[in-house]
Amino acid sequence: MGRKLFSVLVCISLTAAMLAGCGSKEEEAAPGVVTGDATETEETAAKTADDAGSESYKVGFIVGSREHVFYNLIEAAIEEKCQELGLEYIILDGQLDANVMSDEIQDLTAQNCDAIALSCNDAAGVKPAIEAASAEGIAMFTFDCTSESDAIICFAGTDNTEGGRLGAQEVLRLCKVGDKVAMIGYPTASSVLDRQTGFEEVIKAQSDIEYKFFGDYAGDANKAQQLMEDWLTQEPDLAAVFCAGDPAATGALAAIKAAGANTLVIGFDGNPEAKTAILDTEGNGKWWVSEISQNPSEIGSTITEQMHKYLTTGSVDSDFILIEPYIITIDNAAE
Amino acid sequence: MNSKIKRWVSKNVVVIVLIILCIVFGLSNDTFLSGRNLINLTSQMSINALLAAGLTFVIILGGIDISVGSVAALAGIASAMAGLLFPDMSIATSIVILIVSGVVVGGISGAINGLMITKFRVVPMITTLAMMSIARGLSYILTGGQPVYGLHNNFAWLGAGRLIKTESMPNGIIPVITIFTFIVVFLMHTLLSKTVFGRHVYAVGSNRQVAHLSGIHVNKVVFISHVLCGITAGLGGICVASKLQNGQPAACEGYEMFAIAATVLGGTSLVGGSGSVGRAIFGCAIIAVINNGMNLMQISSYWQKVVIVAIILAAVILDMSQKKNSK
Repeated sequence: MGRKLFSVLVCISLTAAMLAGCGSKEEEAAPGVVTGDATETEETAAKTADDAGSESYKVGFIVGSREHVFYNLIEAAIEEKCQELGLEYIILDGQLDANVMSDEIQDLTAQNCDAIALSCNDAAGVKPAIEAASAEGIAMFTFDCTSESDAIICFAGTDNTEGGRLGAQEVLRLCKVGDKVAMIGYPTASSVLDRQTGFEEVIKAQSDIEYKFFGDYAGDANKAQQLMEDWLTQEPDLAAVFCAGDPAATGALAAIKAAGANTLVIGFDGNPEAKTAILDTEGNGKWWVSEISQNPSEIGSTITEQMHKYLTTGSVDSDFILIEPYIITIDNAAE
Repeated sequence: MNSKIKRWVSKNVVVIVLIILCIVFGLSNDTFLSGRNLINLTSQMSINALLAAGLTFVIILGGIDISVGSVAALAGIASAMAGLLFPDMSIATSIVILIVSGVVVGGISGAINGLMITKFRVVPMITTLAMMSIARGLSYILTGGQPVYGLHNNFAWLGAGRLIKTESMPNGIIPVITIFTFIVVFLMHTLLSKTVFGRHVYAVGSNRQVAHLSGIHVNKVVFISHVLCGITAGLGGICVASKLQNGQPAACEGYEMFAIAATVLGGTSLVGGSGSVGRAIFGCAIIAVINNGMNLMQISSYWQKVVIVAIILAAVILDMSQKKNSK
């Protein structure tokens, strides 16, 4: 009897917790986001229609993953722009999974979106779903990472190759003749591979700098720490390391500090922890001196603007819009 | 004489494989056998050793715990968040924060796993699969997907600090994390091999029915083992947080597979009843040596994935065939 009662209680509390969880999620969502609740959908639809006058469009977005700061910043910019332009919008989490994204494209199609924009981390995997939606007359857009499908009307994303070149320039600025340098990358992610291409293009052309090590950290800061530790064992005087992602820079920094080395860190992403480290000139800023920053807000607002432009005028500014990354150092980290 | 050698070999396959790997890497790379690299190796295998130490108990029981990586991440996040409350922490404070976070978060997660398995008869695979998702999800919810950073330098003492500073090695020689891991592993090994509770673990793993009939409180043994497994996972997680001086919500993703592989490499049977914490540590050493050796030799990370699994598989096959022969 006791056990039965206990089971019932556990079931009730689990259900309650689930409902509470769902509830709080809806509260968190900004006004205007359609969360699937019928009454709320109608309300927001009516509201946005009022804002935009007689003509209102419904657009759908699939962000790479809600577990990344980068995509959270893109999402915030998308929401702001949609509200400004009076677009009704739905934003979904693609969970960096092509299978999930394909299903979500279908869901957005079923909800009568006029246009859909997504971030394809797996370009080939989402192609069939993109083309199916396009065949139904939905305007398809991509941001951050694109697909090779011809159905894509416009793409907006960081110029990652240029970002890699900027990283190499920073390495060259900070190093002197004869120095040895390294890079920690993640070649299975196409955007990070582009950074590697840009970096190596510049660095390999230098005869007076030795590009000694390259390693794959697979998105795991602890793995980056081990790579750096192993390199410093072989080459204690390594002058600089270009880390094509902030978790890699975090791991490399830990290994450099533990080894008492003077290797300088040049990160990539522009996340808050990078800025904090660079500003900490007495501590982490002694090593982490430079950062190549992406511009997620610009990516989010650009793609939303282009979708709006296409729906209202039938054309876009360009089918491939590259957002320039920029360098953060102690001079501009506080901005 | 011949059979004596055979028996010794079959008992120590994992040690022999480790020695062969060290010789191969030592011959192909000058740095590998340097004192500094060998000491680095002990710190690099620490996280996996901590996870595997507790996992050995659960696997001997015939169970499995695939939530250890996520529980480790959650404990790491908790310790980093707790660490932020003490902006001027001393080394002693940081150790207390880290260990308490690891034991509490790991212990609670393990207790929930244990409760689900013993009270509600949910199979360990499903229970710990659920815990894997819940703990990972909580890590992201608590942090909003961002790393927890801005911790005091003393927070990194346990994970990145070193003792015995000399002129040639001003940062110290012996990693604190190695000593910490050694103590935890020693305690877990003693608990399993020298105590009544340890013998009960083997008894329940060999035959639950017989263990029950001989008066062992089976559920209690299973519950405590899961709590222990959670605690060592939590301790592994706080070590990662301390090592990186921040809490990463994505930390330790997939580490459960390496911990299970190390345990199995160490001769612990997946059907339960036999195994040892000490030998699992040799399994951890093999995995660490392969990773470190291939890093030093600049072998492409794609090949690393293939090679590491191939060596693990070969070692297990060798171990199995030796055991069959010795029976």
